[in-house]
Amino acid sequence: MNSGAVKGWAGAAAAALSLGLGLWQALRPFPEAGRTPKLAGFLAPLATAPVPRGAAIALAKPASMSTEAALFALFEAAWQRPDLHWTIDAEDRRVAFVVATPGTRLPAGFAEVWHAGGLVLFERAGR
Amino acid sequence: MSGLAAILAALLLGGGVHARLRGACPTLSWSVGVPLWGTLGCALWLGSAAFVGAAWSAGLVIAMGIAGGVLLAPGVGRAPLRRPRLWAVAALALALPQSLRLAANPAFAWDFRYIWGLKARVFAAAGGYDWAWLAWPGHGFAHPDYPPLWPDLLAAPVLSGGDVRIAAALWQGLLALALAAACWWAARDAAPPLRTLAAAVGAWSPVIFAPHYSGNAEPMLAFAAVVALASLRDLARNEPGSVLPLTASVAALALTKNEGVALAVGVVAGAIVTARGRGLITAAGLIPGFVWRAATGLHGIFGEPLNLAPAALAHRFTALATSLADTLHAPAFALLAAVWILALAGLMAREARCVLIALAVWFVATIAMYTAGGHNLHWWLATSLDRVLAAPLPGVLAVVIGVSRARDPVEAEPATILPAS
Repeated sequence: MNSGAVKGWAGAAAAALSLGLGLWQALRPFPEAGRTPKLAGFLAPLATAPVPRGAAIALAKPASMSTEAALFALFEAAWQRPDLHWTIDAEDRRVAFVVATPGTRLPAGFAEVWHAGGLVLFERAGR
Repeated sequence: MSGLAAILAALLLGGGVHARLRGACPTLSWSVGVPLWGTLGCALWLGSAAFVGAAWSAGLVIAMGIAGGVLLAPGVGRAPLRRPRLWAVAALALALPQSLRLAANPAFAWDFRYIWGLKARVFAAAGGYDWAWLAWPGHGFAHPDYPPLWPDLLAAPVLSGGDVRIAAALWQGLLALALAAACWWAARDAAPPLRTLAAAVGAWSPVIFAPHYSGNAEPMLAFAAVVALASLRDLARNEPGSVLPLTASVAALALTKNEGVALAVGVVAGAIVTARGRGLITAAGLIPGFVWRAATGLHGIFGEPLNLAPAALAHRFTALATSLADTLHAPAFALLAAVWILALAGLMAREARCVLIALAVWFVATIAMYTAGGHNLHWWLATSLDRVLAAPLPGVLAVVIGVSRARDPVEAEPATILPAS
């Protein structure tokens, strides 16, 4: 077999292998639960929270939540309200609002202005 | 106006530009030219508006479609209709189920939701690139420095009232067809059954269309890579009209992902080595990506920090080898590596040397990024290596299939290579 034929067969084999892998990956069942983040429903009320566009807002981490879980919660909060500037640092001086779960300890100077579902919104006093 | 209408407006722009440029790139088919100019044109249309201070709106998207229609109108009815060929119909029949499957499933992957789709919604809500949002320290997770083409494409349907998850699904369904068409076009020197195989390989590309990556930017990157690598081969063959699609695909690569920038630079390097002055023209395709980098830099938006200390690089490089070996134990990764090895064996033809140069630059840049980056290597490779390796693969395979039947000067015409005795 000459080198041209070897190259041809190598190319055809690569193409067939790629096609097989692509078909297998595309057609195997994917769990329905993996399509929606667990926190999406919990954070959905944020869509109606009375926070003006462009405001800096912190997501206060409940004591029981790991830092990694809090980061994913932050991602989902940003998805729910892409018009706001999000952080997990409630101590940041630029933060005007904090969203938390009931019972979460907040820095001094915040007052509750709204709640829905399991979420409470606080606004920095004297704004 | 729905999200679908915005995608049709982009395609109308692509059709108009293709109709105008057909004379300059005669080998580029409509089925490749329309999505190429449509995706790149849509991103440049919105990007230019953002940079000149014109707010993005549904009206801007409608204007894009009208501009496409105006460009297209003089050529309507002049293109001769050809009877569809059996193998082309077979290729379409193989690609269509994948396209419909993708279009029917709203996107949901993590990177789509928290990087690509999120930024599209931010841009659509702000009426352009929201530099304050991108520069906000808490938003580093969304990789604000990443090139904007894919979020731009997703933002256009959102501006028109569409849902970004459905927009991503529709674009990916379209890109599956575009990939099939591009691979069919790239393998045009092969026998018709092999061209059909190339089209099926494009439509059913592994990894990039896997459900857990749904909505990510890789299908766009893969489509641009097919056009770039095939046009690079065409440049080496001295085919007329290869410079323009090559330059456009370089621009699309560099505007889609950071790996795309590496491949774009590699393609330009391959073009310069192959065709000197004409190759140098393709470097113009890097300009839009450079403008984006300059703009993000001016707003204080930079990528993740790299550790370039020699001792750290040496240590990390050793660790990379170990982590790579571990990662390749997973069956899907091992299969992907096997496909690459076979494809590279098939690519050892003289006219594909420039493609090998492009891939070598991309490969070295990829290794350098993993070496200098700060993430945990095992995690980073496990969550990204398959996507990185898979994106250029349809293009490589289509070129391999295309050159497998083409004449190799060493074997086919020894008299022109060896001195006469």
